[in-house]
Amino acid sequence: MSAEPQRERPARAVGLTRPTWHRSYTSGALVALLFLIYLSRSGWTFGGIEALGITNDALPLALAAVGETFVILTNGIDLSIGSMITISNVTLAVLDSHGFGAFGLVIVLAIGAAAGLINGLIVCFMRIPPLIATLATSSIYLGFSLMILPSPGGTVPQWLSNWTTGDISSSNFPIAGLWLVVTMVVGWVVLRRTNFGIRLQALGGSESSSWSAGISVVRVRILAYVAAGLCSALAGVVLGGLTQSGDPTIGAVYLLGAVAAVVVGGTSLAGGVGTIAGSVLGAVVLSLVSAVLLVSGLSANYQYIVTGVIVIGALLAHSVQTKLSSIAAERSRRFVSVSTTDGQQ
Amino acid sequence: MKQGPHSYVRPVEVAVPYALVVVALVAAGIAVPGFLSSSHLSALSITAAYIGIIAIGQTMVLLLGGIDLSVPYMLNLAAVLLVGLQLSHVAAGTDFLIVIGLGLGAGLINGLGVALLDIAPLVMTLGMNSILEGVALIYSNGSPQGNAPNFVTTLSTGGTTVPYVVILWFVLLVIVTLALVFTRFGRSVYAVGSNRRASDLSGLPVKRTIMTAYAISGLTAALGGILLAGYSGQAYLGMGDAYLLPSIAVVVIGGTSILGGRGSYVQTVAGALLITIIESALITVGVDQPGQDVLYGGVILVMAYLNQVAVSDRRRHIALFGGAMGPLRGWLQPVARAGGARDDGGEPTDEGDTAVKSDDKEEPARWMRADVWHWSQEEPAGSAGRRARRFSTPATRSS
Repeated sequence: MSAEPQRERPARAVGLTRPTWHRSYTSGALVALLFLIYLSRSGWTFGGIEALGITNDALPLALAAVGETFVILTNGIDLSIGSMITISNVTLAVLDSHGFGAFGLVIVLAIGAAAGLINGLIVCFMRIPPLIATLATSSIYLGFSLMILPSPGGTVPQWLSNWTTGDISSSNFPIAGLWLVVTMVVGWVVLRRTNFGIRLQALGGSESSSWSAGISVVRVRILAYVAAGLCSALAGVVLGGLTQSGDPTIGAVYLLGAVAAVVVGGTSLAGGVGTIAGSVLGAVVLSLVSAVLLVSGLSANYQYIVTGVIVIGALLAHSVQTKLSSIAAERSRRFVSVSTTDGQQ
Repeated sequence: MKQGPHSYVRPVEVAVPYALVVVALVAAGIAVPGFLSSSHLSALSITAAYIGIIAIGQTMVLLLGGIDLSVPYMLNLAAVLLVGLQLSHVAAGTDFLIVIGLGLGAGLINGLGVALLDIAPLVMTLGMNSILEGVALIYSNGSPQGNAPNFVTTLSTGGTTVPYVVILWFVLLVIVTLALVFTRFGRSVYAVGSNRRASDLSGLPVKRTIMTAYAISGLTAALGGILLAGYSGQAYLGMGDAYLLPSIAVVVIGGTSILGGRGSYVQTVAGALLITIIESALITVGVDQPGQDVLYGGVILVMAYLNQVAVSDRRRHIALFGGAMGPLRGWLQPVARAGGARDDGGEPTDEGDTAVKSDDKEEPARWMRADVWHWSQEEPAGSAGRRARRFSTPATRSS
């Protein structure tokens, strides 16, 4: 805490860091471990095709998870991610078959942001708990998606597919891998180097303290939901590029997948503590799990069990980690207070 | 509790959803000819009974301030296992017990994770859902074989004037309501949902209560799976997915707070009836699936909003008339306050809370007094915003 209560403006972003990186180590370690298992199973071969498969699988999930991270950081939850992915996916396919081209992409992103804005407005002004509010809007957005495109179909521009899938020209590096890195960097900049990001973390840490510090709590919270909508729209666009069409059932998997990736990535569901990189790595972990099972020749049915165990185990690991560090903090605090009392006496 | 069972539910909160059920029935009866015929009402009550029975566990878990997202595959695995056991010629009755035991066991694991290991309920049940999905897939090898036993089919679809499953639902309603109002477990559910820490300090078996509630949730989801298998005669993968949103929605529509400590199963029953009537009326009027989805979400939003407004209105009401109400005052007062200060997640802009406080004739609490407050002082959550707004100058609030 600062010793100066009369601050003119809230804390500037520059130079402010919080020791939250260790929470993403678990997912980083899991990625490394799963990758090693994958290599040993596949006979130490890892080519462009395998990398392409894994990154193409991970990119939409990572984008959805990044959007979910913004909302979870505010101590909320967005269960409409899947439906927002669906609505942007089908809108993209329908607009392109009507010849909108690149302008359609802008409309799709605007629709995603608007859907997120509606979520944020409902949570902030109708004061319905985020869980119920987004569950309800999820049903509404899904209904609209089915009205736009009742059955799979539509077209997606070829240039979009080239930009989301395939390899970078004349190399074996998948372009989706590049986007994963870009997502991490952009997410890091937004969360750690903008006022919005810093205020977002402050809001998740303590809403009342953020309010006292002069942060516009409502604005930051609404922006978090808008960010989630925008990320979902991007995920829907990427999925459109991958599948070359629109599908009104495509988003259903991402509802719980996004939450799972965020949890594996080490973001606290209590809000305020988390990293974007962790969520991206969490998404990579989940797609590596299915790749490892595939290469081991195990039935894909085991994927659900392994995913469930990893999600629960990751949260258990984080709660143990938090408990241990709070015990350590308590110990050092006690030590300090004892020594100061001694000094006073 | 020397005064006997103190009601956690106001009669108005129960009356409003049932009044809406009656309004919906009358409106649908006028709009759709034949809607109020006995055969249609009986079909309606069967549909409502399935979702109502599945929502028993969800009501208890939400009353605790938790959530159970493992309902879809708990239900699905129960159905798949029930029809699968018919092929291995397990004795009638034994298969039923095995399936119920599975639901109870998986629910108990949820409870263990939430209560003992402090895993967030959302993630614990989400992970459990994924695990159960895998188990269902491996057990059935992708395509469940076998048919539901006869007595289950009779239970789900049979009946003379009143379907058997509706009778079962009514019996369960009575049992659950009595358990919530009169048993130590039921009282603990409300207490823990209102304030877990206060309950812990009062010596209530907090962890055991949580574990029991999740176990019951697993049990009722499994029971719902058995009934649905009986309804369709067989099981298929993904049959539970359609029940995740409704199992939460009917509880919320009934007026139970998902923050815990407020609500009852009687209200959930009204929610189940209301949503079934609306859905059926929409189908007969000719609204297709997308339109139903949109309206479904709209109904949840409206009911959740009304519920939220009712809570803040009640506070304002107490602030205005509290002194004059005399003996009725205890009845009107939010019951959660008896259990100690409850952080209901109120926004800092919540004015009703302060109004209630100012109505009390006691000395204002220390943290509310401007003369003794210091900015560095520890303070109750949710209070800082209000005070900051009241005592700060425009200069400190610029953002």
